[in-house]
Amino acid sequence: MKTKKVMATVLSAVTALSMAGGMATTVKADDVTEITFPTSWVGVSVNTEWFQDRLEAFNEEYGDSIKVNVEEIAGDQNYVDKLKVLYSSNSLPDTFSTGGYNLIDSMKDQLVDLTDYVDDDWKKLATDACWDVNSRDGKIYGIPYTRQVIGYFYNKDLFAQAGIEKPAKTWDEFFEQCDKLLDAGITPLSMDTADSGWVTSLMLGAMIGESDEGEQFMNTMLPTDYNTKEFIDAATRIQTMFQKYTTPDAVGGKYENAASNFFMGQTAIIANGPWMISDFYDTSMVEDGFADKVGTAMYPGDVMYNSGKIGFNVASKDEKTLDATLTFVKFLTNEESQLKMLEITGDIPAMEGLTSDNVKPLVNEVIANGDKAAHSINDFQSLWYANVVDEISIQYPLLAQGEITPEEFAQALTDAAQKN
Amino acid sequence: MGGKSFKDILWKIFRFVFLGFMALISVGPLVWIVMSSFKSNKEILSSAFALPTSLSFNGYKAALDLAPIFKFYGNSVVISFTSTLLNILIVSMAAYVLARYTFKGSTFITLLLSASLLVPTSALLMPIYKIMMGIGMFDTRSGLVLVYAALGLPTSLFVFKSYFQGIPKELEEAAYIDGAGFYRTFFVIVFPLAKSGLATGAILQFLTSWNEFMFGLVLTKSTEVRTLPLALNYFTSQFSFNYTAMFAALTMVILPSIVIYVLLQEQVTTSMVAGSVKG
Repeated sequence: MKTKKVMATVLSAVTALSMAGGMATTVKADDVTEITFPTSWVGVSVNTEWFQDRLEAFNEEYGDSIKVNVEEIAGDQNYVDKLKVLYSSNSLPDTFSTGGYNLIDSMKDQLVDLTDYVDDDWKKLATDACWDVNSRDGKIYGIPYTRQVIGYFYNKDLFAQAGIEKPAKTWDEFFEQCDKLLDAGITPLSMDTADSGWVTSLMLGAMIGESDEGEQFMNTMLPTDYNTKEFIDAATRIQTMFQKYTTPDAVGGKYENAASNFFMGQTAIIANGPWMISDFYDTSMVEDGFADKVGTAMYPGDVMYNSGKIGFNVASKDEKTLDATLTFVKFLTNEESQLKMLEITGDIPAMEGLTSDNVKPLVNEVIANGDKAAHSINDFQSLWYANVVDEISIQYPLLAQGEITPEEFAQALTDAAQKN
Repeated sequence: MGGKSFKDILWKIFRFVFLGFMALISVGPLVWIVMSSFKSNKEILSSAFALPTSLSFNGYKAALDLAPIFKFYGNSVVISFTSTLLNILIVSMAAYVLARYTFKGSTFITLLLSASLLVPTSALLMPIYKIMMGIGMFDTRSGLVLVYAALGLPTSLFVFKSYFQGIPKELEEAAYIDGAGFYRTFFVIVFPLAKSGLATGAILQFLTSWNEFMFGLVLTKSTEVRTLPLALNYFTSQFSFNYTAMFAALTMVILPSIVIYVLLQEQVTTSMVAGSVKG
């Protein structure tokens, strides 16, 4: 009898808990519209401070009529993984921003076509290039808020030790400089392979974008054929970089390994965007005065990543929620928010000519390099199919270890792209 | 005589070296994590294996500032303990019946329940997400408790069933002769006898629940119900990281698992040894 009672109590408790869970959905007053926004801008993310600031400002202005239910999803890959699950069950949140990762093409059947909602005033808040990246077949599926302006950073002290006066103008000169650095006992490059090998792939894209054909390839949305001369030549050079000019932890390494090596002065060059600049001043990461040693450069051939970036996507399912969502997105992408983004994170605004005196000097150098570039290219994460981006991490280690040829590398990406 | 003692000494040295090596590779990573939690990012990056220059608790402070660790911690404790209790209670009953009674379909049921061990987690993700949404248990602790208890079902069933099979039937028969019913025999006679086996299953179930990440991410959306493994991602993102805070958080996360294991290790060892001589 006693045991029956125990069992009944336990089962009742579980049932009660379940029912409590079921009743957990919030009931709100009719005049407040609730919207959902999952974000990876939490913890150490470079955008955390900016988002907290903007959310607070939004709540002050619209808190009476719109409630933003923020879901914290720490980790960029976790964020994308969860969105994929939500997409599969047709329950995407009202709005989301992947920070550049292209989910438009794989999810656009559930995204709201925003073309009719974006008026001329709103359009002025971003360059045409930014709108282009967020559009498909003339329809707008994303609202941009930043631009992608990426060159590379180099350590001026290490360059001086190797007798290098200024960054290379051609790739041949770049590799000569790598040899000089090696001769001086300095590892030239920070590289990685995990998480789509961001740092390595920036170098790969920059090499492809050196020629007009390559530039065109690097601005092609969703390429399906990587068996081009430019791509294979670039992959060949990447293989050389892996085998000769980088650190042992590059194979299998993540961005943080590549960044750490640069921070510690163990490598002389790293490809990355201006959001990294604030770390050059962070004395818990680098030695005092490290930022003064860092120079910015265009890639050889005057190539720069200078393009739009995927912004906020909207997937609201009814008009009322859509209105509230658009108000929220408009607030986060307005001039003030973009300016705050520049000042807090160093990320370049989507709006042309938006500058601030309150930024680190290196940020302005990167912007100036972008303006001077002879070849402007877009980054692989924005343009390539998501499964191709994932495939890179699998293929880079094989390429690095010489287990596949550059031609096989190109074919592997082609095969992945053609599965779509 | 002298030769023998030399051999003994050599054997002793070998044993010490071997055990020392095993201890080093087992404890080394844990010590390294704890040690790193007291170093600055710069120290970790420049000399990963060096001792900290000072005993700084900044990493712990940063970890607590960056992520709602205590909230996640509380959730993990509640969810892991509850799912473990639920798993033991339900699965032990199933395992007992399957171990003791042969009836039509008993082999099929055993196979069916054990086969769920072979279903990959990623394949379960979507159906479970839809079920949880459908029954209103999405974003609740009780939802996670149920899912975790079910995830550990095949492992626990396997452990419990083998253990119950090793308990002499005569004990139960004696209980029945003395007038005990089925439930009383199970809970008063068999349950205490299977303590070691149950402890093994409990540890495995607790660790599964404590470390589980993907369901914790997909089946919840508010920080009010989320668990510790999700907190670890607050310290690295695509373009930034805080190693000190991450190691401090890791120290806080792994400590309970170690404590639980240390407290229950005797039971586990007994269970393993007992299981090894059963037919």
